Amino acid sequence: MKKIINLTKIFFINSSREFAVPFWTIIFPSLFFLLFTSIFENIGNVENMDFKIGVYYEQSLRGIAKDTFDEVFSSSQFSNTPFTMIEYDSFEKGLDNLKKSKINALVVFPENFNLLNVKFFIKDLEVPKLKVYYTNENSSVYAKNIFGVFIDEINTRMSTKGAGVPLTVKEEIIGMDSSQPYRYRDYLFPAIILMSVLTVAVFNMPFDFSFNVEKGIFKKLSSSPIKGGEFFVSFLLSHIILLIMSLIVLYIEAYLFNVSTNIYKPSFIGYTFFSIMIILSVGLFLSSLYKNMGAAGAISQLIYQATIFLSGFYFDVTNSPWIIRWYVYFNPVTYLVDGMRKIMLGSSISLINILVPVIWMISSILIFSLTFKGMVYNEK
Amino acid sequence: MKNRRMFSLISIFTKDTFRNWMEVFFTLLLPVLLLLLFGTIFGTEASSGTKEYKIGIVGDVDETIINSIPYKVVFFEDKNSITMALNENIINIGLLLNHENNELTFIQKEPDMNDESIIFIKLELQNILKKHYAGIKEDFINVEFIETSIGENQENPLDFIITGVIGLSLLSGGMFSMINVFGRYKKNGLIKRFLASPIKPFEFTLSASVSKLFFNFISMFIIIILGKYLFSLNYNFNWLSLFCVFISSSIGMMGLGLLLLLIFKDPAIASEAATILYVAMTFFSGVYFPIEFLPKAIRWISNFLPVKYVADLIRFSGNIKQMTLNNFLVINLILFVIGFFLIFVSSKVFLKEE
Repeated sequence: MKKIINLTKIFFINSSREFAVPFWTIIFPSLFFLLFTSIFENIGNVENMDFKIGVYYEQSLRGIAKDTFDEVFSSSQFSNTPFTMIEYDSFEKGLDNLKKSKINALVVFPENFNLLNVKFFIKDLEVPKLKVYYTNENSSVYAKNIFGVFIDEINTRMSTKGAGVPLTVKEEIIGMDSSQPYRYRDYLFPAIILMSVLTVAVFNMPFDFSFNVEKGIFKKLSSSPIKGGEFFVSFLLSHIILLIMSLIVLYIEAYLFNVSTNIYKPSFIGYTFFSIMIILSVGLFLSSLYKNMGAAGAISQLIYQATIFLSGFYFDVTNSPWIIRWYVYFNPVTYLVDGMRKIMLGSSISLINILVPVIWMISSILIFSLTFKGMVYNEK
Repeated sequence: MKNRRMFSLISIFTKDTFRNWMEVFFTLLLPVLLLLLFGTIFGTEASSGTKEYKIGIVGDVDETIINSIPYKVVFFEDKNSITMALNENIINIGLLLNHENNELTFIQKEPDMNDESIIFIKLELQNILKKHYAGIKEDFINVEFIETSIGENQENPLDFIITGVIGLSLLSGGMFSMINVFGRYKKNGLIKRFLASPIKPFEFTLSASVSKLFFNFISMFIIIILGKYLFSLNYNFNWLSLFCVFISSSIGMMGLGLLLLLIFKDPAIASEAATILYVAMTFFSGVYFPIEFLPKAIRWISNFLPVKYVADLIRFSGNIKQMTLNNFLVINLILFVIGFFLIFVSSKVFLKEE
């Protein structure tokens, strides 16, 4: 037992000395969570957006039309609009600046748009259409969509003389307890946990293993009184300790960011540990594949990048083309992140969230146990 | 004699690069993988558009509402059937209407985060319903949205993503190649041996850079060809401009790679620093999501990272971005001069330290 403790301590200190190990396992997931939450939780939230809208008036606005659009394009701190207006004295200049991405969209107020002031009294009057020019650059498409929503709202307010329309809007996600709001941070948190576990399983463990093989550490250990099993347990424990440290940091961050309280549920914590077991077994399986550090680095990067993007961590991938979709269904992480999210949503996990990962775990452990002895003793 | 020596060195470095898994991965495989991933994920989204969305509705629905919804509408008897349709991907979003209380319930299979377009569709549907409840038959303000092309042909949203991926791959290829090659050679003691030979330090650096440029060039062409044929992209490159961008951005990033190596000494740490820089560049590039989505306090960082400028240069070469020729030349020149200077100085100091 003392041998295992000492060996675990040595392994842990040894791997933690490498800057990359604590950085990618603990610091990077925390930073990633912080940045992604601040970016994607703001989509649709006008307070944090700032689009540059070019405006060209074929004829100066007057009356209600002027007051309305002055408010939309006002950059005062009291107006809750995501637009900064840049006025152009020629249409060509505005369009040129749109094409040069200096503005996100160009709004052209046509001649006779002031008829809008009279339309309140003469309903049948036809007001020329407002023209909104946009490009297919992502920021321009978003600016156009948000501007469209604003115009819709203005139309409703004009028709109701500013009173607005009472409409109760509710949202239900299938299987989710609707009493708790579901925000991007809640959606992302399970993915971030698994990202940290993947780092340990896909990088740290296989790298350590291939390093040991390459440097003949196994050979040296086999000539010492340390048994293969003791080595294996200590090796695994050293990585689990680092992982637990990462989880503690992530949970502190989740607490500070007010992530859903469902993450403290025993079922969520239990399934998280189940996920750790599965992914670490796959890590062991990968470790048994690599024979040198070069191959380990390249193949691990390939697996890591494919898994984090094709497991539904950040966006839905179930509708992707079959050329990549096979990997979505093939890899166990898809089922694990889905299971964790189901628990967070308050619904129960399905059999597939257990079955596919367990098949992976059994196969991985089987392959590893068949090759482990060979790895340790073949160097003799 | 000198030329022969250089040629032999370039040939050796090229063969060695192909033998190194990590370099092959970062220069050739990672950009192709990212192209396939983002091309298929964002590409399908961008090309299908939101007009293909199917809305499931439960409740008494007036014909005026149906006519105002610009999406395909499917009717359901109750909430259960709408849930089943969502699970079977028959519809994209469900609507429960309760006219008595002016209440609208959106039923979704997944939260909004899985599809950003759904946020705008929901806002649009809310406004349609508000107008219906207020008895608004006609809008005061009508808007005509006009899709504008930047170049000669109408660009596809995917064109912008793929050209951004090319930019990122040039940057990663340039930066990692220098870190890998010099880091590895330093670790293996190869630099010391080279320095003991008649090869001059600058010849050594230049040959290594030329072989990496050759590798990056292959990578760029693979992405362009794959993008063109797999995703039917419209870009029409001006090859001379693209070649200029390729040379300047690769040299610029090679210089940055060497600088990192000089700062951090240990190749492993320099490589980690480069990876962090690369991740930061993907966030601040505006390639996958608009820079306007970033928190205002950190948005300025994108102006200091080369990725934004390199992506713009490639888009200009692909005729999907407008900029003045002066700007194009100045940015290329800055990248080239800084890169060349960094390669020259860093390699001199780095090799001297050996």
